[in-house]
Amino acid sequence: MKDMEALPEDEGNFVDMCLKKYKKDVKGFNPDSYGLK
Amino acid sequence: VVPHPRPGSEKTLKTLLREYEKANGDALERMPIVGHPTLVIENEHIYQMTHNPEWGGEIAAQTARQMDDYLAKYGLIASQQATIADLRRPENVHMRTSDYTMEMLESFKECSKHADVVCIESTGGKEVFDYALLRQDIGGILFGIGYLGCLDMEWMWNQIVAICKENKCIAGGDTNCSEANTAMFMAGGMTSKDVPHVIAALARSIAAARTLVAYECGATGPGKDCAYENPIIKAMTGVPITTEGKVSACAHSDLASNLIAAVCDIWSNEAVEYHDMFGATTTSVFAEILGYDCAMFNSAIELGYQKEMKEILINSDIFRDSHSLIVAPDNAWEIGNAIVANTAKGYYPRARAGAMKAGSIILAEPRMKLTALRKKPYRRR
Repeated sequence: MKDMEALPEDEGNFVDMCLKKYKKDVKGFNPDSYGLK
Repeated sequence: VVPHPRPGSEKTLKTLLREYEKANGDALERMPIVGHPTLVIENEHIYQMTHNPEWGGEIAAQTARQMDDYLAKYGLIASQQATIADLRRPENVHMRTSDYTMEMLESFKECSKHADVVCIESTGGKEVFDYALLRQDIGGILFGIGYLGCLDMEWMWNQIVAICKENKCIAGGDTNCSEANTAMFMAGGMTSKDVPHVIAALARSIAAARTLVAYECGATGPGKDCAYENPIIKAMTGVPITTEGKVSACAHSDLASNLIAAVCDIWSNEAVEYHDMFGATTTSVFAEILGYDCAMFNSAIELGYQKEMKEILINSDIFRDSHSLIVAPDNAWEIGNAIVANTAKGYYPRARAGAMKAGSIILAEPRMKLTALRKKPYRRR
């Protein structure tokens, strides 16, 4: 619960944070597959 | 009933047609023998049926003809659901432009000409989800299922609904089988400790916010059987849902087998490979078992005992696992309310709100049967 509470409230901030992290960490993750930059 | 062809029968269209003819025919044949009045057959595509869209189409057409024959001969009311395989592996292909994507859309076109309902188990966000699950990274699970999964579903389901309208077919629903079910199966039974059961339950609540997208795009149900998030979907939308529990032990184990039947509209077995059993072939045996369960559920309603039946089903499993707890109808209703109340804020905020509600429900419940077993220390292997 603490981990979830610590996440950003705003969707834009959350997505920016995740794109930065998972583009680097997850092999094969392509944001363009989802219409994201 | 969901028949699956035996390995080897997929080598040619001819052998696969013959396999489905026998498997589906046996299930249909058993219904008038034991006096069950209705049957839904789901042809859940193996890879070859979607990779070659005409294969799936021909098998759907054959199944429709078989059902017509049984209607004419015995008055059996049967319907067919075709579940298109999601051939895409998000880490390997572009989800919107790959050849696999085109084959899937073509399969929807072919099958919706003959099937009554079409469904899919879409896989959007699975690459991020798999990474996050192994690290118990709830933010990554929210991103994979609750955001990327929703974007993929919105893109896919607007097209599926348009195809179904063109061919006068029912756009059924989706399931987070590839992610939330992965978490649930890895969490396993009461002695398994590879993935925490609570993480799996949170993934399920996030999956409800994701699977909802199909209905927002125009799907009308019945929802896909392996969507254990379906009680939450039903609380939010009122659409009819298919669920699976004890009769799907032929395909996998779960800890909510009776409970998940409490709010079902269609009762399913997930998948059974076509083989011989002492009682007949698997498809006829499992169709009969499902039919007797449905007769019991319907009798409970006719006798005015529906609330008692519901309570028996729920209470047999509700404290067995955190997963069971959160899909119990009252809790499903609360989680659904949290998701709906936050829908205007976006896919991520509503998924997070659903997961927070699920977490608060689990934290507030001291009667979980799993707790004592989970207190045992982890041992190195």
